[in-house]
Amino acid sequence: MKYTFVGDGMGIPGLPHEISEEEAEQQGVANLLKAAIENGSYVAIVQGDPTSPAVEAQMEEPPTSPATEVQVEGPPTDDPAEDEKRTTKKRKE
Amino acid sequence: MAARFFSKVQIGKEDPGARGTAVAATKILLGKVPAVKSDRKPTIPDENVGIRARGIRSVIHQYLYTNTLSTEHGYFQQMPWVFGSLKGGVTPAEQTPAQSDFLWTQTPSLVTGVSNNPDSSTIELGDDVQAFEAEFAMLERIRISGQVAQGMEVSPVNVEVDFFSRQLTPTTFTPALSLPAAEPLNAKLARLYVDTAWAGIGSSELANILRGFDIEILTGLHPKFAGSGAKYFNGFGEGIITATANFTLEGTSAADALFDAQQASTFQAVRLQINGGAIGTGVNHSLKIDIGGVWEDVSPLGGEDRGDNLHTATLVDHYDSTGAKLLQVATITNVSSY
Repeated sequence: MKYTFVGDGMGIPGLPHEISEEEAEQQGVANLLKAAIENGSYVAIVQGDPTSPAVEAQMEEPPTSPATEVQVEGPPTDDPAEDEKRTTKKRKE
Repeated sequence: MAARFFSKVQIGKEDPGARGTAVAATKILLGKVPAVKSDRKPTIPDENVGIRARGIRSVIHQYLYTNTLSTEHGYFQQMPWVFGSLKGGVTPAEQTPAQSDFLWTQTPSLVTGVSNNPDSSTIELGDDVQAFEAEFAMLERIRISGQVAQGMEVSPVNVEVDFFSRQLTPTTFTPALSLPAAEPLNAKLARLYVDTAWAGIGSSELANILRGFDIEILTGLHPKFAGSGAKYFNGFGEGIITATANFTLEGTSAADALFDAQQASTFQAVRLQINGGAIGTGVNHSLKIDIGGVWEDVSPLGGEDRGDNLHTATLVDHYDSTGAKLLQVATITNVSSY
């Protein structure tokens, strides 16, 4: 289960704004995370729930620009202008 | 491991109906942690019992915990808590809908029959080895000071408060509190206005001459001890409120006019205003401290900096019957509680 910071201010010293219980255990801040959950500063991120703060943030991110790939028809020639003509850009599926 | 960097101060506002009942902290106060000190002092009674010794027992009769909290780089968000000792129970007013630009007007009442209902807090302080808490904490002195640096150095506004509280008890810190957002108070952005009536306060700026300021407000709050079942104080009293302001100014003709006002004992309505950044799309953070009084002392050539003469001026408050005021404080910041 992952949790996200929803409290006021800049955050709780020692806790990243998003952290799982496992990560908190590894970093030795499990008790701190537990207290933060109890006082309402952190809430669970529900995967797939559009109302979950972190999922909402992901949905608000603009789509990444489609990557392009360069496809060259045939082997390169000695003439750069000819190569340029034969080069087409194709959107990655 | 007792480490200074693991030390902190946290505060929690107490229920006005249950002052002295310790509460969990809700805010971290930025600043340095003072020496903790003790809340009691054993006394050895001087008694003669036939031995060559000054006494045979020790007694502790009363508790009182006092200390000073200092935020060298003060910030707007701490000011509602600070001024809560002048006027408590204030509900801030949002200036722009949905922008969280809250105006805190915490001007104390001066008239009989009106309690300012000053806030009390539980203060937690200590380090990673031992935390302590002091309940029924109230501020008795507020000092706000700043110097405008003459270079690219910092010009912080130091916010220092003296508090008294019932007792000091070893405890544990309230865990997992969020660091506060902190819009800094910048002495370089401080502006001084001097007018001759409360009605016009904030109209006449002494532009481009303010070098430094040091404002001290005594809240008049004091602990009251009476016979009871406990060794700590029973309640508090609200005494007179006083404000004193010291300024360092460029020695211009505008500063010299203050000397004339001092000589004539002319009433002055003085405003120190510090603005900060915008709050969302609303208004800016701001702090206004207005004091009415007279210049107790104005000293031309009171200082010198790289060949420039400086004036020093000290304002002492007095009640003005026309404006019916002595002191006004107002903060706009982005917190609605403390």
